[in-house]
Amino acid sequence: MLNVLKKELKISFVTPFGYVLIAGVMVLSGFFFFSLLQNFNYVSAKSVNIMSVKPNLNEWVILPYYQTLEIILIFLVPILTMKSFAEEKKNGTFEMLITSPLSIFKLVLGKYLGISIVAGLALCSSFSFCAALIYFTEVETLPALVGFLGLIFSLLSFLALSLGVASFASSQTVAGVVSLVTLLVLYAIDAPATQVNTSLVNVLSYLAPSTHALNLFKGILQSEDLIYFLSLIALGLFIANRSLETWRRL
Amino acid sequence: MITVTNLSKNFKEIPAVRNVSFEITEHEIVGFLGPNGAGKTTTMRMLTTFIQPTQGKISIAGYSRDKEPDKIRKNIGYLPEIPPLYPELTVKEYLVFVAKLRSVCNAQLKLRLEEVLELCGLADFQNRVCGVLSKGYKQRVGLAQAIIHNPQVIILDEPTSGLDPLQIIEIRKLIKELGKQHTLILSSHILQEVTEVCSRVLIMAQGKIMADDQVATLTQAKTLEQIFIEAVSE
Ligand SMILES: Nc1ncnc2c1ncn2[C@@H]1O[C@H](COP(=O)(O)OP(=O)(O)OP(=O)(O)O)[C@@H](O)[C@H]1O
Ligand SMILES: [Mg+2]
Repeated sequence: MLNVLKKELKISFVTPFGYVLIAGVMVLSGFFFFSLLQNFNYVSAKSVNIMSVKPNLNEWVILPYYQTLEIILIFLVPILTMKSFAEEKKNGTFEMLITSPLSIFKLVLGKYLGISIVAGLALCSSFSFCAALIYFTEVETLPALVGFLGLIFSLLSFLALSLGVASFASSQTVAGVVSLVTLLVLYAIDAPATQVNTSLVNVLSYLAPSTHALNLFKGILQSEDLIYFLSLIALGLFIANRSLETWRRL
Repeated sequence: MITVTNLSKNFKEIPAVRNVSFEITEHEIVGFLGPNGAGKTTTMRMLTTFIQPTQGKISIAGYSRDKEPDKIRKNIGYLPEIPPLYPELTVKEYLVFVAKLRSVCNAQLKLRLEEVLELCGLADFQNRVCGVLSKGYKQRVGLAQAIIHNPQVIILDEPTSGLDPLQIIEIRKLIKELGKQHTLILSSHILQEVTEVCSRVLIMAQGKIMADDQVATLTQAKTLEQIFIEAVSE
């Protein structure tokens, strides 16, 4: 498993891929971060005249920043996972891996951890802006950290699901498109429920990752949200494992 | 060493391999011959556990494919039709990866790596990135990954396709060398190659075995070419 992980990391960082990814995320997140900060300055300058309550940074910058990043992740994750199995099939290495004694689960786990580390590094680069804010202003540190944990969990569960989808496809394009659609549908699954007022609303909003991520973004750390993310991760890895197992059905 | 009984493979409704049986003993070098689409690759893929047979039994090195596929995987080395490579890794990095995948122990790794690099004529290329190698050298790396763990059975799918005449000669020499210590199956379209390298030949056509005998016996009366054409046009 560590062998596969090492190989994945090597491939990501001998090519420009890893670096481009980290730089890209940093530029993109920086752009949104500074727009939000700008917006905050504008609002707080105005509120001095109108209201006596001063808007706080956690609510006006950190929270929407994390929400924006969550959406960026939805588009980023399929790009990261789409080549994971399609590339092996193209290189002919899929045949080599399947006919080696390596267990499918170790293969899936090695790949998953490899992608997670690369993507995690990229995501951490986006946290540097929050870190600066924590250092220089009176932002509440703990909720900001818990919120970032929410982002990490979102990333890990999106990656697992997307890897599950990618394990079926033999072309990168198909893997990427289907992953993107899957993540978008999951993200927006509670959208049709806002009008209807039944228990369906609860179910759908429970299924949406944004509901659980929002709790964490607000700084609320509850086991039920973590359990939700962990089950998504398990589900994604289980799917990937099963779909590859069918290749070497005993 | 290898026993195959009543092996069949259908893709959807199309039969690719039909009711094939054969037995291969230790240290034989067996050549699979046959026209395009005969089912050579499909048979090899079943032997290497890459795909599952529709019907029939395979046993390699005493292990049954149905019961202990992992034991079989440990005991075979396989060069697929397209040599498997990561274009981003160097030859050495790649071979170390495969060696660990094949659980070559760390103590033996370095020695084994040197041996295999030498054997496959890759010593001067070990720090090159696989992606930029020429076709012939990619094939050599493919061969190196198939033998790095010193398996009992080596299965090579068209090992000399796309190579220049000199490389073909070298690879054939290497195959003959390997045949001394391993059981070897290779597929080929070059009849002369099979006569030169193999001790035994299996001619397949339309998923069936049309001829199966020692090369020496077969070629006593007729040339292999005549036998091939007769077998295929039956
Ligand atoms: N994955 C697959 N799905 C459907 N049909 C397949 C598949 N793989 C092989 N076949 C079919 O099985 C038959 C045998 O193919 P195979 O690749 O084993 O032939 P071959 O003897 O290796 O030919 P070649 O000399 O061209 O390599 C062909 O008719 C091929 O179209
Ligand atoms: Mg073939």
